Amino acid sequence: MVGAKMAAAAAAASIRERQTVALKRMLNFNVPHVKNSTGEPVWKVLIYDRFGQDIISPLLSVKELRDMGITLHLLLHSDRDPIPDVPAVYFVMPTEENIDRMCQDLRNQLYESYYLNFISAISRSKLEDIANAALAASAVTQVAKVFDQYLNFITLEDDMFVLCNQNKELVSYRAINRPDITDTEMETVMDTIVDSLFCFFVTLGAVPIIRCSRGTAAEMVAVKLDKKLRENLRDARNSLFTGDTLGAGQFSFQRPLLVLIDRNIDLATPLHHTWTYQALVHDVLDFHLNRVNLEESSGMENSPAGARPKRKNKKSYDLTPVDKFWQKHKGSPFPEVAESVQQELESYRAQEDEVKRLKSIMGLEGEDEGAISMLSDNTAKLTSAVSSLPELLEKKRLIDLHTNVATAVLEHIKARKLDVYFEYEEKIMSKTTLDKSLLDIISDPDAGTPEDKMRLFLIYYISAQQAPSEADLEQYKKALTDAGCNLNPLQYIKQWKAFAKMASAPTSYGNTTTKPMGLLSRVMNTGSQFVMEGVKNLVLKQQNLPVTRILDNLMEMKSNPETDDYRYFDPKMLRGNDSSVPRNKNPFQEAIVFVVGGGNYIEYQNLVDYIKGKQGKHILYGCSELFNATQFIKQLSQLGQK
Amino acid sequence: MKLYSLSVLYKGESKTVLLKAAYDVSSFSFFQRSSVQEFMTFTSQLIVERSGKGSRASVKEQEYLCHVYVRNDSLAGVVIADSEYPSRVAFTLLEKVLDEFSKQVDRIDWPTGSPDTIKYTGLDSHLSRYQNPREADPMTKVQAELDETKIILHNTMESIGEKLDDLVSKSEVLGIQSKAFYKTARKQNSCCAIM
Repeated sequence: MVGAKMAAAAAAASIRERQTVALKRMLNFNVPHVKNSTGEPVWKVLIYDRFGQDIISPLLSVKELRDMGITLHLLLHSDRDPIPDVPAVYFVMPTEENIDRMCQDLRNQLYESYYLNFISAISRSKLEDIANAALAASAVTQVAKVFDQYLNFITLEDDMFVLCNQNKELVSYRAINRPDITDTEMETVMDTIVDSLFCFFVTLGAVPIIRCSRGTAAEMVAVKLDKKLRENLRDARNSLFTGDTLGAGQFSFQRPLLVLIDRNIDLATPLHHTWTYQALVHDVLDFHLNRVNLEESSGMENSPAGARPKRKNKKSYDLTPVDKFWQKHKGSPFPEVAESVQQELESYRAQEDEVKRLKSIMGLEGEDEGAISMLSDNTAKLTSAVSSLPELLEKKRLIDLHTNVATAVLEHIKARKLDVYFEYEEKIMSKTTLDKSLLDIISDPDAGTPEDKMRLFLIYYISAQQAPSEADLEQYKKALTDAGCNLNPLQYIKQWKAFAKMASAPTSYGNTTTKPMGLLSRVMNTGSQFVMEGVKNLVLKQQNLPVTRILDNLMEMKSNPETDDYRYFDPKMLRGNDSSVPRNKNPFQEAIVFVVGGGNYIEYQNLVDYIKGKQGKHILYGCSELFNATQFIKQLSQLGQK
Repeated sequence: MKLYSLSVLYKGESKTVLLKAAYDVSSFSFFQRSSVQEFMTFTSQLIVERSGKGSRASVKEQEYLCHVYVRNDSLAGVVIADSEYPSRVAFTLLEKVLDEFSKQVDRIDWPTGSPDTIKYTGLDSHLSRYQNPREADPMTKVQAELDETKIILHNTMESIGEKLDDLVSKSEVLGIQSKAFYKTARKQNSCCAIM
């Protein structure tokens, strides 16, 4: 048992693994869950609120819940019948509404026993409310356990997390950057963010060194998080960072680095058109908490009255860790994805044929001498074919899934000419000379939606060293309006840029390391399902985005004017004052990058690519909310309204 | 149109000293406010330093217009506004503020004063009142009323005009030469301004 624990801890900081372990422990009545234990699991009911649902669903499938004995899972605020002989595990936020409902459940004697788990820490007064309700309902003995789980964040990948989904408007980019915000409102926003980050580090089992830029929301988060960690460490009785929760021993030998970055240092990346699979899916499709929703049009229906218009079927797919294709290709450039699906399909067909062949041979048993002598050989083959059938079925399922998803993505690329946008923006962001005029692309009626054009123009405006002249700007504005764009986002970006110019040094998108990631080998043949005619085979250059560059400076202890005056916090140090002089001079092995104000998959992928080459180093990426360009532009538009 | 800051400074021999300032940074986002305020303080001081005594000027700095008035007695005021705000009103405001300030604060305190030591509290209310130039500045109000009166007068004159013609031509008192003179004068004075 100790061995398993050690192994789990030694595996590099996978936040997904840690949060899953914590969830499973909770579902096991707060006793560490051991795999392969004999005997049936105890049957139980799981009651959650929408926050709890969002946390559990990317991590545990319905089947996995059933394996843990959960026969029924229900929303807290729904009509629930009494099930008096079954224990209930609750997993909810400690809000007033939720507490009231739980007390009501106690009074109504719904279940045999109650295991109350709070996603983030419950206040003392609310705890007393529950105690009183239990007393009044004579149900005190039935309340078996009450736990603060400190799980108030959502893990989407081994190395990626977001703060929340349900109340993301509270902590959105807009919420943080709107002018009409009061001090108390800002405090609430910051406290919400800090609460989740605190839960994250409790689950991770580590106290980080914190670095942040000055004068931003990131700084305010840093100050509050440092304070909260510090207070908890000093509280000898209730410290969450000693003993068990750390897993077997410390988090490697060194503490991780937490880099808190404000969204405002880079507004171009969230608007960027992208070329890698996962980021594309997030940009052009409805992709949310690892689930993608597609609308598929079925064929025309013929009825006596004539053909009916196409009906759209909706299909949803979960893109999970067990999806081997996804894990391998979610960061790959799209043409590579298309190619790989094709290859998988061919390999599947070959294996399917092999099984068919063996089945038909068995059918000939007794008629063919050669067949009889091959029998024992074939038995072995058939056995292996049969045993690989589940694998084959799974392979087929994934091929179908990714064929559908990639096709949907390709339709968008072709209709909107997204490859053109991607290439042009890359040139703008890396300050390479532009071969086409920006005005031409904006005025081209065949290339892109009005939103695509606005994204492109905003990236140009943000990246320009000198703002365009009044006359040029009027020209662009007219072209954009003619193309159907709403100019509010531009209004906000103008203000942002004026302030950025005034307050701080300019950030560049630099092309510090440009190494080609290998040319794509073949042009798509027409036999392929993915006809990429007219779509460019673009090479992805490895170029560090601003967030990656900042992380690199801080993780490797490089001196750079951009990051030299970042603040430094160490919650474990006795003296409360921070200094800008880091005490630790060695490069970090583990780092967490957290973007206050929102992040996206492009940044995540850039960090993943950056750390790939570095042996023994790990990065986790987190953000206060995850948005695609459409959602971000909407917020910019609201901010730019007068 | 918007006012962002209003400050009173003293242009000393060797350096310019900030005596008192009021700010309205509510249109900036939470984390921008202190930087913007600092920027405005800095800009105000710089502008006064570079202006001569007994001068008025309007300086464009990025999106903002800084209006500065330095009096002969070295007392200076700076208003930072957006480009829409009427400069005439800004200077009226400065005149008024410096006048009031010099009456309330002893001259002897000016060279060594700072916002903490100076006892003058009128800036915040002036800044907030002048956000709307029409309300705050009687001259603007009168001018606006005059504009309206002018229009009324003009219309009235025009409507009277025909009657006058008739009256003049029908008059037996005015001589022929006077009538001719009136007709010529009318033609030449077709855009008579009524003031």
